[in-house]
Amino acid sequence: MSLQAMRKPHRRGLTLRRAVDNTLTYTALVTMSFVFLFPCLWLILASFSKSGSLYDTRGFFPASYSLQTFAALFTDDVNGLYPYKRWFFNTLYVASMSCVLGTVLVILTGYVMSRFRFKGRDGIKRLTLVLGMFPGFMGMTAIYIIMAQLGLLNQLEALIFLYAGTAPMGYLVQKGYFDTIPFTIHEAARIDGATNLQIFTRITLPLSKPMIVYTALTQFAWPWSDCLLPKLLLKNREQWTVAVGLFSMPETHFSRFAAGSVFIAVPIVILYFCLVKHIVNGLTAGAVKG
Amino acid sequence: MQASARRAKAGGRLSRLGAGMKALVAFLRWAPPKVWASVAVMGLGQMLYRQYAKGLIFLALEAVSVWYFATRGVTDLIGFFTLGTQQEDLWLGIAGDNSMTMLILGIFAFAILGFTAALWIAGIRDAAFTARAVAQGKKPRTFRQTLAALADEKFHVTALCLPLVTVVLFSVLPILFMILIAFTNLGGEIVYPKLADWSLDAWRKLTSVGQLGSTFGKILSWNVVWAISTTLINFLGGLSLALLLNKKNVRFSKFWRAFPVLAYAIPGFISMLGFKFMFSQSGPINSMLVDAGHNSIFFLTNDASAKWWARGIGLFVNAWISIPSIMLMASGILTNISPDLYEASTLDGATPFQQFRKITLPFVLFSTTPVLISQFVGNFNNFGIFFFMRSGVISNYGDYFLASDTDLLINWLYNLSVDNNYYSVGAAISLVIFAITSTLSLAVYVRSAAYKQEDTYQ
Amino acid sequence: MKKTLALLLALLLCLPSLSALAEESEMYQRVMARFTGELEQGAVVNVLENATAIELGYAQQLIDAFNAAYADKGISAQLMDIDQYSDLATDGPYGYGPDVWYQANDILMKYATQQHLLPLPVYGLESHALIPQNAWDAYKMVMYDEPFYCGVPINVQSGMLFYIESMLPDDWQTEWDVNQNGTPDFFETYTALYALSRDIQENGGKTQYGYLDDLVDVYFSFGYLFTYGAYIFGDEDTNPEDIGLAQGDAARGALMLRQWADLMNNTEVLDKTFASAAYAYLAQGTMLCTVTTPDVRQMFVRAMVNTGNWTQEEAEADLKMVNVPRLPKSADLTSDAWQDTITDMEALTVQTTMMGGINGYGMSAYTKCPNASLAFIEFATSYEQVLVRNRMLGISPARSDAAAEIGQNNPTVQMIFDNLDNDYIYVMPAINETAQLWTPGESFLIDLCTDAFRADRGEAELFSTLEEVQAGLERMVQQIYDAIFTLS
Repeated sequence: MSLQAMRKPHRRGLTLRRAVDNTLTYTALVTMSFVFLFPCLWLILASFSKSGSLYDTRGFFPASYSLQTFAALFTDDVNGLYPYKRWFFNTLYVASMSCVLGTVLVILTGYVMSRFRFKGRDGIKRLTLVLGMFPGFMGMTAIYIIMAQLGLLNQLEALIFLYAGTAPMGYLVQKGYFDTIPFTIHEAARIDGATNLQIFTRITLPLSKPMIVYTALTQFAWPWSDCLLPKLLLKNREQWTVAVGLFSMPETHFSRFAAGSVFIAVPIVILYFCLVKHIVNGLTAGAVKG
Repeated sequence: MQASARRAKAGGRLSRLGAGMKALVAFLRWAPPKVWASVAVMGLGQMLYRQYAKGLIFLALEAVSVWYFATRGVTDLIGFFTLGTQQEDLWLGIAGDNSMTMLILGIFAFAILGFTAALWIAGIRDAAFTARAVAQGKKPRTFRQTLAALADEKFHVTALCLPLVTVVLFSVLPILFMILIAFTNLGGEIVYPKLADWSLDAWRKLTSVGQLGSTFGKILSWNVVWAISTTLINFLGGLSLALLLNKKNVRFSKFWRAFPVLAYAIPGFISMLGFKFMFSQSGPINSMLVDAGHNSIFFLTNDASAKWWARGIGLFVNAWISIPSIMLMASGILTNISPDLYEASTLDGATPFQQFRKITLPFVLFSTTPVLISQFVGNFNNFGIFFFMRSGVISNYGDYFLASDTDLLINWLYNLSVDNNYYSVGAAISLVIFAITSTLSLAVYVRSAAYKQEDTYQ
Repeated sequence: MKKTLALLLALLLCLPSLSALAEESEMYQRVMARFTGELEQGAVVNVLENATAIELGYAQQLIDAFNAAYADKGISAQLMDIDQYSDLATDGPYGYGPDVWYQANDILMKYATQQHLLPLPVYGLESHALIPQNAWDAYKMVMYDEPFYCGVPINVQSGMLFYIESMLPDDWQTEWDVNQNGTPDFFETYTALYALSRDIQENGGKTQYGYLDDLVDVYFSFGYLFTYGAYIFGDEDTNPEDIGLAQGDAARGALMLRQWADLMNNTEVLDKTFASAAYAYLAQGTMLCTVTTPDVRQMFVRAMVNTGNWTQEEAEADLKMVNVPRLPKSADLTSDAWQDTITDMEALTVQTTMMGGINGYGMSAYTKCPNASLAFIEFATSYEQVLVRNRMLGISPARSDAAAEIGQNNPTVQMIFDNLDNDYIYVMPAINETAQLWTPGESFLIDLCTDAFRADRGEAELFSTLEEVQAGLERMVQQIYDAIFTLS
């Protein structure tokens, strides 16, 4: 664009070019937002549908709307089949506990792997890389037996240990971030006589707020929407998480499903919107330094 | 690598081994009695140096280990090899063994054995460290000093201790279990209460020519096509979206960015199930097509014509879910590109397209190689898409065994091992998947600039 | 009155089986040793009921009634709130899962082969003689070379034809009741139903379609194969090596499904999700009738109430459920004049054999209280409870006395019972290889019915001749065989 400007062409040609560019840009933008918004809108409106089934209307949108499915979601658990309130708090408990523990473990791992050179470091690096290549759920049979041996079947804690305990496997993003903090700061602190623990807690952590926020968010989002592990480990409906519960709903309860989905998606969407800056930083840090 | 270089490396390894042996012999000659005490009983050496707290901790850990092996560890170790000797009869109430549990507990016992050994060696080394310090006229460390060391020069040990334990327990152990399962005959009819045994049956079945082999070939080739194309689509889509939002003439780019972020934030399984409903035969798209007088389209059924529809929808839905995160990442990277580069190239008369090809793309590609690789591996093993959208369909034409034409290896694996209990065959297949993905991505990763520069960058 | 009579009859019939007790082998007695008859004091029986029974409140009623009845005997029961498709094989060994489990026979029996389900001392049960032998066979398993029974049948599940009476064509009494028996002819033979459906689709009517159904559901559509001589497994469904779905004139039966797909000309029926859409479609007048199992009756009622055109009571009264029509002997829905199939029914048509299941109670091998669990099963399968279950859920009992009692007001229930008794219900085999039937079966049906649309879309037809259908069936049989044997 500025190249054109340098040659100082006719004013009209410039505005025309700009108009075409603007039109194309905004067409693309509108198309893009439609593609992303429409399915979400569809699910949201379906959750406000008055009748219980997806098949009551032809075409995309329900004939009439009401709030009754949302009310029913919390007030009517259909004789204990769909205790959504319990599921919601279970999910909240699992996600927040995994988030706290998982974040601590990942941040520690990422920091140590970034700042320390020790025997076995390369081994750990290679091991995590190799472990990541295995198709995930083949280990599920083993996890089931391990949890049974630990007496943790049907316990929400089993999920917390699993999510938090396997989180350090994904330390690369955090390590990438810590790599960008200059070594000189640490060396200065060392000369002042600070121990490694002090350097970590007093200097590194305050500098890494964006990374901590990003890590916490990812550690929260995964348990929030995972379905396979809870399905494997939780038996009683009262113990289920929302994802398992939604998965168990037949098509005849479609609007309940839609309402449940919308309700579970709302908190996470809000979180994402508030923290989008940190997400960008986190994703970028992980990418730039693998 | 040159043959001579390889020989030199092997020779180096040998000489290193020799040096290690020599050091060990020297250590054994040198070791004073208090170190030998630690060899005999863990923690004894420490206590002789009056490091009572540390010594007691070592002693307690040894006691726990001995107690474990006395009560069940030895039995578990034997069980690992036999995989059970007495079959249970639930009807007659005859108690028996459970091969799968025995396998896991056997692995666990080995892990404890290794852990105990590591602890034992650590105890001896610690005693030797103290012995050397005393020989130089220093005092043995107090317990307080030991603790301080854990927070300082040994900080990495302290910090990695817990993550290592949890990862070993919840990641390494299950994967080891899976690898070992591939070498047993577990699965099919042979599940608890029947007893399993070590065998190579699964591999024989997998390599034998026939249905299994031909299905494997077909699924593998689609799997590779899928992984490559979906990674490319998502990457290019995300990048162009980021470029679009980055354009100078876009106003309120935060507003526009909200739409993909919305799609990103919605839990994946909800989106996938939603799309499944949308494309079903009774779904809104088909009912609108029919009402408008068109033929409905077989999007996700198992008709042969649905093959490419379903594959295309899979690509689309995966793009819908993944593009936003790539977009966010790319927009972050784009801000890292120095604007000077563009200014300079503009002065040199480069078109925007040339700028994209010569500046933007190389820069983004360079920074995201590791992410691209992990995206590729993730997509290669993308279980969710076709599990949520097309489970319960197997293809009737073209001879697919317990699979549909959209299934990836991981879906087939699920059908075999979870739905039909063919554990050992499933495990063997997952080893094959592992071999493929790891060779491909390690090759790329090790060559990538990001990896090579790792230690020079700082 | 009727009940005492039935009980007397039951006692009479029990006599031979009582004598059979004496001949029971040593093995049988060893297996049954745990059933001492002594209730485990303080035991709480964990009962897993199906989702519909919980949703409609029957399950809680059953538990309450049991607890009231056994309050002074020191045992009680409670509902388990786990998923109705529990995996006994993985949960049981670790102490999870139910003591007593209500499910369809194929699901329960999947766990019997590996002994996760206990054989029950059925000869001693009050209901033993009242339940037909082919219902018991759904729970039969041979172990140690002897037959054992791993469940107690409660109700028969099989496809029935559902319709809404007020949606019938206004002229059905004059135009569609040739034999003047008060039943619309189009519910008597499929030939007549086909004619009516074509008439409605071509000339319009109160509904958009006559008969509409998901033709791709193995459970409902394999009846077309069974009626013409197909079977699932050989040796009375015990030999998985012999898969008989392509046997007899199965291909001719299958070709009728293609005829239906041709006429319906609606691709929604190629998708199993149609079953869930069907509730709304029937209520909205998309179609006049459809085939499904009796236990989803309430789903139709709910959909009808949802439209706002019916109150709950009106909907209950207006929704009808009848036996599926008879199939033509010619195995062609268009070759006979439909009136002939009514007037000359015996000569031109055959009774349709439907696939069915026997739902019942099984007992986990991991139960700590087999005697209390058995007491619960006896209670839940008793005459009174089966009547309540029918009232609340609309099930068709497997007990002859209950079927007879309900049959007085509700002929359908008696019909289903008779169908079972006369072998017109093909009960799902009790061996766990049955699990491999569904996916290949459904895939074949989808392929077959999709064929009706191929020509219009410029694709080559795959199933236009009998030979091609036969080949398709054989391919399906091969797939089932492979699924069972390739890896074992």
